[in-house]
Order: sequence, then C-alpha cells, then structure tokens
Amino acid sequence: MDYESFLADVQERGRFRSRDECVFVTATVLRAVAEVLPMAHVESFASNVPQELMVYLRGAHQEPDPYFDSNLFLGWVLATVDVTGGRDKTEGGLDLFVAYSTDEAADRCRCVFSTLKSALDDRQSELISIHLPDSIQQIYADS
Amino acid sequence: MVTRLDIKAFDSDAENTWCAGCGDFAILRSLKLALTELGIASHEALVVSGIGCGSKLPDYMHINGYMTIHGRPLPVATGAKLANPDLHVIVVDGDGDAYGIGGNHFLHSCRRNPNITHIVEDNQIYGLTKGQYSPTSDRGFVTTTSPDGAIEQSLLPVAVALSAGATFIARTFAGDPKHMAAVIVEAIKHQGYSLIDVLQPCVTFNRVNTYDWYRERVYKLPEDYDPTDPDSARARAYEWEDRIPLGIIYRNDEAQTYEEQVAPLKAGSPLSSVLKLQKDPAPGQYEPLKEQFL
Amino acid sequence: MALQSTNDLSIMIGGDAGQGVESSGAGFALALARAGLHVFALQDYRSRIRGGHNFYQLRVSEQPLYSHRDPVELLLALTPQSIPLHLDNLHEGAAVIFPQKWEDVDVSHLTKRGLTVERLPLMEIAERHGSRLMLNTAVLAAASAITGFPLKYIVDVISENFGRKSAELADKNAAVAQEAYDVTLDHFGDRFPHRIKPIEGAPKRMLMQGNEAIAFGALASGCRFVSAYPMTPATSIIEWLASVPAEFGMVTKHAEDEIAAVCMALGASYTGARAMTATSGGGFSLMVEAMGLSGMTEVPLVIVEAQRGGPSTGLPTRTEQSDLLFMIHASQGEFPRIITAPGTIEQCFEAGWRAFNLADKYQCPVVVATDQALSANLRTLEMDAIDPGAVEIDRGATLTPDDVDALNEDYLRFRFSEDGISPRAMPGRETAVLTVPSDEHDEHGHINEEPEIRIRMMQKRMQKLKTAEAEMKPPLLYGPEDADLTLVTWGSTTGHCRAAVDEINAAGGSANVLQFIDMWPMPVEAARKALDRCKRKVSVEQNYTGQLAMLIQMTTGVAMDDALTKYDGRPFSPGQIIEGVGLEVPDGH
Repeated sequence: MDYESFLADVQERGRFRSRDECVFVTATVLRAVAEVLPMAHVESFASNVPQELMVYLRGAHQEPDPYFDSNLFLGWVLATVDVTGGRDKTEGGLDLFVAYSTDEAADRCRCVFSTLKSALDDRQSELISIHLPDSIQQIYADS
Repeated sequence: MVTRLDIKAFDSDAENTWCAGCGDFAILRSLKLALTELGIASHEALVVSGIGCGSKLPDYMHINGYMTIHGRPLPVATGAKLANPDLHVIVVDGDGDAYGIGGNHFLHSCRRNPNITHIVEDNQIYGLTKGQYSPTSDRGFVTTTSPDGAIEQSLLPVAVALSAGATFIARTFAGDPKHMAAVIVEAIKHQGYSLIDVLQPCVTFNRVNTYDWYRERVYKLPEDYDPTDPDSARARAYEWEDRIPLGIIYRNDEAQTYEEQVAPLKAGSPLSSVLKLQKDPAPGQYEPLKEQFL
Repeated sequence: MALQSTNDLSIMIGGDAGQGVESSGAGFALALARAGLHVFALQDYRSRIRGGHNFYQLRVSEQPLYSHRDPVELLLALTPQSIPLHLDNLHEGAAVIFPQKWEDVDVSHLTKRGLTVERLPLMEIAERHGSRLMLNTAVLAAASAITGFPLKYIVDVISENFGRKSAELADKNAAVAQEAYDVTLDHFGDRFPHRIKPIEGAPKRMLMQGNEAIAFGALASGCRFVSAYPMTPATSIIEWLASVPAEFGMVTKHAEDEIAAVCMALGASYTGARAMTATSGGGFSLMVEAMGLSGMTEVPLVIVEAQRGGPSTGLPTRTEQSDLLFMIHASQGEFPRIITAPGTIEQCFEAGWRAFNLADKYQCPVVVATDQALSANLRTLEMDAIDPGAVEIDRGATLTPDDVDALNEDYLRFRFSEDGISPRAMPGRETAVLTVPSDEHDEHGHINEEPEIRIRMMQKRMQKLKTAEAEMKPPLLYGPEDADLTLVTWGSTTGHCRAAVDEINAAGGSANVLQFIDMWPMPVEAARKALDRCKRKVSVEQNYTGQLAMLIQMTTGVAMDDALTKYDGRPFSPGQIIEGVGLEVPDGH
C-alpha cells in the first residue's frame, strides 16, 4: 500500500474531514505504537509500510518501557481529539467535551489499526499485536 | 523483586476522576512501584498534596494522605516531618500549586533541605480550573487568561532549584514510567529535599505540550553524566526549548537535612514528647525555667 | 494621691529610640521586684530602630498592681524633648531629673508649675567613665538616690545585663552608677517626698510579660512545635520558646511567611504532636485560609493572636482590641473554632495550656487572643501563679498509638457521633491509614458532595461548638457583687478597669468589673445570668466599633447602657476610665 492510499483508507474509515487531520491521527497512533515496539523489530515492517510512515515507527526504543500501559497509549492519541468546547461560564475556563473522548480515541486507533492490518501480512500483524498494552490489544483485535 | 501483590497494597477504592490518558496515572503507578521497591508500607508514609487534578492523588492510593490548600503542601509536609521524622513524607502537587502560589515555599524548601520528596506534576497549564496558563507555560502559550499568548518567561524549575540550594533535582517524563519509578526511588532514598519535576501532558487542555512534543525533545542523561558536578548541572538546568534532559540532574549527598540540625529533635520528636508527657507530665522539670524571671 | 508616699509612685523614663529606654526601664523594674515590691511596667515605643520618642513608665506598690497610673511623680529625661512631652502627666511636686549640660531647658517654666527640677552632671559622669551611652545607667542611679532606694539592687541588675557582654562594661557602668548616685544624694538628700523602701522578707516574685506566660503554659501542656513569623507584638513567644534548653525538645521554626508558619503547625498537629503558631492581626489575616483547613479536616490548631493597632500596618507597636469579630468569623464557610481571651498574666499562663486541651478535644482551631499591652507589659507575679503542677494534659478523643493498634473495626476518621467529636488516630499505624481532604467528605474521609452527607457532616462539625459551650468559662467578676456600675471588658483593659474600680470604691463609689474571657462559643446562659445581675453596664474596650458590646448583644441579646472606647493605641489609664464613665476622678489625678 502506498502512502496516499493508506491515508485515504484512514480518512474513509474515520470519516475525517481533512487530509491534514488524517496525517495527524495516523502519525500519532504510529508514534504510540513506536513506544511499545522494540527497535529490533521495526525494519521488518518496511516491506509493507510506506516510507513516509516508517519514519514514525523508527522512533521506537531499544527497550520499550514495560510500564507503558493502555492509559499512556491512549494519552498519545487523545492529543488529536479536540475536547474543549466554548467558554464555561459556570466555572471559568473552557468547557469540556471529555465524556466521549476515550471512545473517540479508541475509534481513531481502530481506524489506523484497520488500515494497518490490511497492509501487513499475518506475521507482521501478530508482531504489532503482542507488543500492544492490554486494552489496546483488544482494540487492535477488533479492528 | 516487585510483585503484583505488593503493589495492590496501595490500591484505593475511591473513584478516579482523572481524564483518560492523563499523565497522572503514570505518576501514581510509578510512585506505588517506588514505594513497593523500597519496602515502605502504606502506614509508614504520608502524602501531602495541594489543590488541582494531580493533588487528588492521595485519595487514589491506600496511604496516609492530607489534601490541603492551594500552594501549601510543602509547609504542611515540613511541619509533619519535623513533628514525626519517622514518617516518609512525600509532597505531590501540580506546577501551578508548586511553582506559582506555592513558589515562596518551594524556594525556601530548596534552601531548607527538609527530608521530603516533592513530585511536581508539571503539565505547564492549570487543568482543574480549565485551561489557564501556569508559571511553566512557555512564552506565547495561548490560553483563556493569555489570549494573546503568555507574556512572561516560563519558569525553569530545575534552574531555580539549583540556585536556591536544592540537594536533589531530577526531571522525568510520564511517558517513561519505568525510568520515573527508578528516579522516585532515588529521590526517596536521598536524605534531603528531593525535587522531581515530572513532565506530564494534560491531554485535555494542553494541545501544545503533548506526549509527542515531549518525546521529540526529551533525552536521558548519559551514563557518564556526573550529577554531583554543579557546573554540569548548571548547563543542563537551562536546557529547555529544543532538548530537555531527563534523569537526576543534580545531587548533593553531603548536605545535612534540616531535621538533622535541629538540636531539640535529639531529645525526641514533638510527637514522641507529647505521648510521653501524657503518661508522665513531670511538672517539676519546668520549675528551673522560672529562675530567669527573678 | 498623696504629696508624699512610701512605695507608692510612678516613674517615667523618656528618651529616644536607641538610647536603651526599654532595657534600663526593664532593669529598674527588675531591681524593684527583687526588693520585694510590686511593679507594673508600661512600655511605649515606636516601630523604628532609632529616633522618635520612647518612654517607660514604672509603677511601684506594696499591693499587687494591674495597671499603670497617671500622672507620675518622677521623670527621668534622656532627651530634652522628653520634658515637654510629659509635662502634662507630672503630678504636683513631681521631680524632673536631666543632664546639666542641656542649657535650653527652661527651668523656670517648670518650677512655676510646682515641679522640682534637678540638673545633674549625669552626661558628664557617663562620658567620663565610658560613653554617653551610659547616661541611662546614671539616670537610674539618680532615681535610686532621689527616692532612697538602695543602689545595690540597680548595680546587681546592671552587672548581670552587661556582664554577659563584658566584665569591663559591667564595671564601668557600676562606676557610673555609684558616682551618679553619690552626686544626686549630695544634691537632694532626702528632700524628695516619695520614697522607695525595700520590703524585708518579701517573697520572691517573677517579673513577666503576658507572652512569656503564654509560652510557659504552652510548654507545660506538652507543646513541642512552634512555627512562626516574627511580628510585633507576638515575636517574644517564639523567641522565649526557642531559648528553652534543647533537652525539652521544643522545636521552633521561623518560617518564610505566616502562611508557611500556620501550615507547618497544622502539619505537625496532623501527625499528633501539639503545635502552635503566634502572630498579630496582619499575620492572622494570612493564616485565615489555613484556619478553614483546620476546621474542615478537624485537625487541632492553636494560634496566638496578639492584637495591635490596625488596620493594615497600623500602629505596629501599640495596643488595640479590634480583631475580636474578625477572629470569630475568619475564613470562608462555617466551622467550629474556640476563641479565648486572657486578661491578666496569670490568665495568660492558663490560656497557654488550656488552649491545647481545647484544640485536641474539639479538633478545631483555638485562638488565644491577647493585645500588645498584655503581651508586652511587665508585672510582678507570685511564684505560684505559674504552676506547672496545675497543668492537665487532656487530649480528648485523640487515640494513642496503642489505642489505634487495638482498633478492630473499620476505623472511620469522621465517624458521626452525638457530641460531634470523632476519635482521631494519628498516622503511623497499620490499622488507621487514611487520606483527609479539604473538600467535603464522608465518614471515611473520601470526597463527597451528596446532600445527605453534607448536611450530616456540617451538623457534626457544628455540634462540637455546642458541646464546647458547656465548658466555656463564664465572665469573671471583680469587685463587690451588687455594684451600681459594672465595667464590662476583656483583655488587657481588665487590669486598668480593676484599678479604676478600686479607686472608685475607695472613694466611696460602687463599681465592679465583668471580664469576658471565653468569647466563642459564648457561654450564653452564664453570660446572661452575670449580666442580669448588673445595674449600669458600660463596656470598656480598645476599638472603634465596640466589638465586645456587639458580640454580647449578638449572642445574649443583652445591650450595654453605655460604651467607652479608645483607639489611639495607648492603654486606658484608670483615670481615663473613671472620667469616661462620667465619674469624678479622685484627688490627685
């Protein structure tokens, strides 16, 4: 799959309005994957992952932090979810639309994971899956 | 060897109100890991917090906790430590609480060197009050109270702590929880005021200093870095915009703690004294003090 | 007041800040106390290191004293300006002593007013032996000679004071004293009609100020932690406790500001130790938020508030009683607190230790309210007025470590109870690990906003106030029970009122003093009963708005018949009170 197709697929799955937003979401999810994928395995994806996206995976650590959990993974992705609305006149500051932010973040992961899975072969897919933290692994499986 | 069971001893059944993805979860986890590794039980420690999202941490742990008022956990903790030096005292609060309203106490704690560990959940924003800029927000940061961008320079807590005489200064990143746990262990072991400035993204309000943003900039201090060298520390203290060092930036293990130098403490702590006096008031001990009025 | 007397006079030392007026005044007071006399020392000083007029007014008597008295019989002037400044406060036939070399002093003007003026070569003596700084020693020695008071008492005090610095200094001062004494005696003989005679076989007495008594009481109560920020007139509390030998284990901390000071005390108290802080109105203003923290988290806290002239920086070295309602209402929201206001130095000692029992029992902030006059002025006290043996250490429902270990049920820090008090465990034992928030919370200490919990918790906390009311001291009566006039007062003004009614009664009048001590919660029943027995009630207090009168009306419904207020930063003199209530001031005032 090439870069543009990858992005188009993500955009369709996620119904994102702009290509820029897609780039942002894809980059962020892959950066989060890079946090849990051992560096040794990264190059094995080069055959099926577009070069433009390999850049993010190459940010992987020699030894991923064993305590990097689902919460931190989602935290990475949540940066792409805009949860602030207008002014909150009751409390001051901005009003939050965080009630669904976790679900939204999970959906975004799902989008990128789905596209990714369709690009990878079984072995590569398995390699990603086993390094994902618990609930993220589940999201990956459901994608 | 850290076992799940040990960590579970710190679990609390209080409902956690942090946003999903909040870096505070990692901080909470790392603190539990550190205490478990050090073999410090729930009843042997006291966590004092201020006001803010992160200051709710004691409620989410099974541990002695005192959630106080905005900016004041350091003096409360200092008083507690002086009154009962047997307790491991840890202060947990945010960047606004610690460096803003609590700035004066921060400054003086650095000089005072009480044996307290101070974990600052630094997300460069005021989270609980919904998105205002904080002392560590970068210049130009746009928020509801800085619509044209923050005018002030951001505070560099490591540099301030260094020049104020702190004896243990570290920085960690919530995205590296294992590293953070190891630093917390060292901080608690350090005899004196230990500052850990934790870079902790606020996933809800801070769209600039995200996990990505930090990841691009943070780097771990090299193996051969000497934290006891003040010159090296000074150089690293001012690294911020493009490169942010993580790890123990400065440590001075020669300095005495404040408590060690308080002569009256050698006679017994204020807590042990009153417990003793309750059983045996010994009023005769005060009679000689009346001589000075004659 | 007589034109001659023995052991019944007032001496005024006037000078500039920086001339040692305080230390020489205090030194003279100590000498007189050691001679078996009763002493009351009124200090008047400014918020500056040098310059500006200060004075020290000493009253001597064979009977216990609660107040100074105007006018004075002897003025010792260390500056020429001291003379005109106190001219109107000099009794007929009073003597004025000052250095010969001041040529500008208009002696004839003074003698025309019936004053005895003595120019003595005091400055010259001082300079010859050492320096002009020894002028005050010369002046004290002259006072000694003029009144027939044996010099040795003064010399002993001087030797102790200066001996600490250097033996040479002590010797020089002693020489100055001797020569000044001899010269004055030569001049005066025993012409001066007011004499001071030591009392043979008199019991030893202490010379103390209110702050020292409070600090002593705190120490005796088991308090071993004081954090404070220096603020006139409370500073001597932390200074005295810091000077106590290290074996007592009294930890004192000069904090970076008052907020740190009160928070440190709270943190120490949280661990189960007895802790306090001391400040004045401005510092108390900063402590207000922490008071609320103490009230909400039910952690004992003792604060000494030594009031001074406000508002803002106000009159830093002067007295006032204008924070009463502030102390009662301080901090946002509603929670129990106890306010107690001693009025004599003996009562200060008791307040010092009783405050901790109250704080522990009711797990709330306790404010000990004094004022600059009570905190700083010196008085002679009987040895047994400070009786550590009378101190009770009562911690109420505070659980000891053994108690905590014995807990076999789920410990609830904020357990609902009939009297509102929940047993308090201190951190450190496995059976009681808990977090306490400043938010509203449930019995476990978890944050909780639900209406039912909020209502019950608020009621629980406020119930403590009702429970405490039962042990609040009723107002204290001084003087005959059925008097025509009752002076209703509090704090240091109590002493001046007592002196006033003594004079009124001695002159054939009928007056007594009703002193309010425990202000909050007001012991309403007892207060009403005491007030109902009064005929004409006049409140006497040092503030503009009549806060005590307002408090009494607010809590008991009883209104005063008249109010006498003073807010110039100077304490009431008995004469001013007598005049103020519309009576004639007895002869000699």
